Amino acid sequence: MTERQKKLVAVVLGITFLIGLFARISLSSDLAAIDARLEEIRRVGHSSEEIALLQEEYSEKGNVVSLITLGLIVSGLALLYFMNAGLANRVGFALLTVALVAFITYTLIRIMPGDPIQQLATELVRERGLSYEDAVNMAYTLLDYDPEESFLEGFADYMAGVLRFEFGYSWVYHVSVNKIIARALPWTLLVLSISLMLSFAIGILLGMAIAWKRRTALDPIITFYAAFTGATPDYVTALVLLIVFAVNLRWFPLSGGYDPTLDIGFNWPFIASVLYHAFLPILAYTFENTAAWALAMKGSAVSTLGEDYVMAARARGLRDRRIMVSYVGRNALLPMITGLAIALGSMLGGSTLIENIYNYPGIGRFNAEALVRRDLGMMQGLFLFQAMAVIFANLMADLLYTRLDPRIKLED
Amino acid sequence: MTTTAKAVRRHGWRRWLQRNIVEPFLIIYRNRRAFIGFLILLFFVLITIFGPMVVPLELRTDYANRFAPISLDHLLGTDYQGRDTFQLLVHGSRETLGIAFLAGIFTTLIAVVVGMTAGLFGGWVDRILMVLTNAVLTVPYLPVQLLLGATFTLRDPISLALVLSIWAWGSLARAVRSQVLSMKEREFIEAARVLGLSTTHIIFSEMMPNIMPFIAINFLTIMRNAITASVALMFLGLVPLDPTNWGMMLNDATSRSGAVQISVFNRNALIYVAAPMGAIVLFQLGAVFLAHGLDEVLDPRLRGE
Amino acid sequence: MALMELRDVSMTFEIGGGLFAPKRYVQAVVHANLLIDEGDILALVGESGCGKTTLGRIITGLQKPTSGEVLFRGKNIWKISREEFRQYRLGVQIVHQDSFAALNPVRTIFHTLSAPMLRHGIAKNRQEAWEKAADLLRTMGLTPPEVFLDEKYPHQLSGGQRQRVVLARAVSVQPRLIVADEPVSMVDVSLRLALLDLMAKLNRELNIAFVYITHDLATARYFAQKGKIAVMYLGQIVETGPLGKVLNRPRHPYLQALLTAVPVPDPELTRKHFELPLRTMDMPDPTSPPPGCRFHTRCPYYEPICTTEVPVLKSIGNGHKVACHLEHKIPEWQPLDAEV
Repeated sequence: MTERQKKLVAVVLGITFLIGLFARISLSSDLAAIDARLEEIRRVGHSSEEIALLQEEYSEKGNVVSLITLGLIVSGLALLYFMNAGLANRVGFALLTVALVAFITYTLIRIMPGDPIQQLATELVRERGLSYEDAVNMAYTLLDYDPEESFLEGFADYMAGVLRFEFGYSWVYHVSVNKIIARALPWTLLVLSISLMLSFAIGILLGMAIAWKRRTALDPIITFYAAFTGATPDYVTALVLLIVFAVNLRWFPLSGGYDPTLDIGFNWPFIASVLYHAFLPILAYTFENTAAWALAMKGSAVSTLGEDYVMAARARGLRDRRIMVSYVGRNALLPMITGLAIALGSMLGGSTLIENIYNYPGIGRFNAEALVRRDLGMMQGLFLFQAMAVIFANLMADLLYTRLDPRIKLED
Repeated sequence: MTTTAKAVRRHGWRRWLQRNIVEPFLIIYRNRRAFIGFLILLFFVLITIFGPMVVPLELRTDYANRFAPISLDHLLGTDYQGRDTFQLLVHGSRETLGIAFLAGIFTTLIAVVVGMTAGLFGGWVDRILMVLTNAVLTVPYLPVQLLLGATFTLRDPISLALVLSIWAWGSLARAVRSQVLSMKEREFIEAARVLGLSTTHIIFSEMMPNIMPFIAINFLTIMRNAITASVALMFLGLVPLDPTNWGMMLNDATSRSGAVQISVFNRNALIYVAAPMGAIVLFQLGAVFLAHGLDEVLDPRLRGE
Repeated sequence: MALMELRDVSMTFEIGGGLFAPKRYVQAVVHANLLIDEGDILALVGESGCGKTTLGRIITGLQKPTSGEVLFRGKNIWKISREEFRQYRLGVQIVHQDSFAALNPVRTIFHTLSAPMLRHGIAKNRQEAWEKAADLLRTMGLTPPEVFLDEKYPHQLSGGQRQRVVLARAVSVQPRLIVADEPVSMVDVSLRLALLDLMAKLNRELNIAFVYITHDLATARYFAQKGKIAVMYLGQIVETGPLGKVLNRPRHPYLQALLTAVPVPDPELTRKHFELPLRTMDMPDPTSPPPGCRFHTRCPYYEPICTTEVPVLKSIGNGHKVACHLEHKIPEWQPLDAEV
């Protein structure tokens, strides 16, 4: 293909992309309106006919939105390919991973032992006093589940939902999982981001220190600390901290994200209360993760210290602090960046247990609740969300790393 | 038959013993941390095998004797029903470690098969398997295991072990693949092909011994992760297994019995809560320490002359 | 019938090419013809990256050429039956450059030597394999063999000893041809001649043919005195013939340049030394080789025809062949060393 042709294709793709984006945005507000009405009826209503009708409309418009989104992804990826093939490759693989995870989640719904419809119907009979027949119909509409559907048709429907970033429907709370995520995510993000930054910063500093001054007492202490935290599951650490500082010493609260008697808002007592409640979870995460960062940084810094340019800097008589910060630190830090996404992933994975232990109102606690109460809808929705978040974080870390390190080229 | 050949025959088993048992042990023995890890794991293995034969198990409830302190009768005190905590731990070790061991075997098998297939076949097989492996590596395994544990009702150790292994093989598979890839290019494999040795011989007799150290060390790590995950599943109450299982003990101690709250008034309850946690952490420490030394043991290039 | 014959063999590699990334191609070997008879010695000479290793791998059947025929005793090795292929497989062996990489690091020397013999029924049991291995090691000058067979691992041997073990392994399956790819370049200089002598002995006593791949004209001259030479440049054989004749009267500018680059241990001669003025010292990018004669970008004599027409090997008598349009115009090369 000539340069001219390439440019032409790129421009066409770009225009298609913009039009698609516009259509997508205008249609999603329509969808949101239908969804709000559905929500209203579901909360109080018994009429499964009206729900069915609305759902019909929703799924029709929804399919259009999904198709447009799919087009957006494909044209966006093609556009990216013209600008940077390596970048498109990475993004393509990330999308493929999302599709794979969605496929697995969907397969789980299909092959799950026991009938989810029956399960939900029984619950509806008990909760709302419907007749069994009504309850079964209601369950079908609620789950948007068609028993006649083949595996692939069902998967197409499911993927259409995923393309609209709809994570399903909670059986216990009777709201969409998106609503639950919107409510819970800020708490989890607060705790995870502070813990990640703290453990990263402390770990990096410790790692630099032991790489620079070897044969001090610090090195074996850190090594043992790393072995210890490596051996201790994070939920055990969280439990111990809870038992010691919250139950017995009563320094910190036993549960919750804030003091409910306070006004929620941007005021000092509320912020203080939030931080006070977040203290133990943050401590647990930070204690668990710091040593691993320190060891990784030590390894990276030690290998950097052996590089010729560091030797040359020393030979030129630069001061230690200067060498450490601008020669060793910067270069040893780069490989750590990909670790950030992995750490975030494992922390998010651990949040189910830790937030459950502290009864902290984040994603993890809802996940634990979904698991314990067998709320399959919420379980799978939250799982897909967590997986997508981690895949996204990995992609970002990957791109950031290749951006910062000129030696790495975006090629596979 | 020459005398040398006779000698080889006669001393074969002794050399084998020397090379495969005595020397590795000496290397572990010389490495202080590895030796401590070895002793800890040996302790657990002995308890798992012989413990239940030596220590009786009394599951009768004895409320008068609940949360008893440490004593000669009750080495680790008693639980909320007055059962001996030490007895529970000893009898639970079999299931807890057994599940982890099984999960380790399953995971290793999957990882080796996937990694070897990808590395040996290359091409599209490799690409598809690597997309899969990347997915497994990117999505953290604990949520997957929790999801699977909650979706299926797991009542027996084998299905639990399967659930624990289904998403845990990523890093080992990738490591095995890259080892196979680099080995495939190595001249000794090429030479074996030119010498007309069979593919099975090349895989099992030439390649496998080279990746064994990798597999052994990863096996320990996988076992550790399996324990963490299985206890997590039981901690959330998703897998109702035997009450002596350490995960079930931890679940009992922290939720059902209220021992955590009771500990404010009765410090002895803390012993009961700490016992399963201590057992888990101690085992894991042993595995961490031993893995550290194993690398050296299994690699003849690192051995002395 | 020739033992081994290559007819118009070419090898093109694909490089790169991810899911989306574009592919590029390298022509490692272009239209190569070779003939090796029983007991022959052929020196395959060229700079690194010229495709000589690929050609060696094609001869050993490790690589299937993208076009052309590889014949063993007159039969195309890629079209013969399993049994015939097995015959060929054992008949043509390889000795690598890096003896450490050529031996499995976690296997004993005895295991390495016995496995192929046991597999092919050359030895019926471990006992016999032990004795045969001991004989082989004695032939290779590794005595007493017990020292090497007794629970020894490759890392416990010196480089020269390891290379002898590799040779022993190749000889163990009673081959007719051994492709030796830079077998001595990683061995201590003092031990090189001994190894070359050993290979010459195997050639003489067991009538094993050798393809000796090297970048080093001096060892080629030593080992293939009575044999043939083929000089490669960027995948093409540019000059071939009986070694003595070719090296005494090199006709291709590339071979002349190579010979000029060989250091001569005489300061007088080196000073008088006529420098062949190559136009550039850089090899062209092998993924996009120059059109016409591949050497024209560096050739001091090049003319317009060289940039358009690909030269073919032409006989200039006595089995001496050159691929150069200007063969008749190129001045005679002055040997610096009177002894050659």
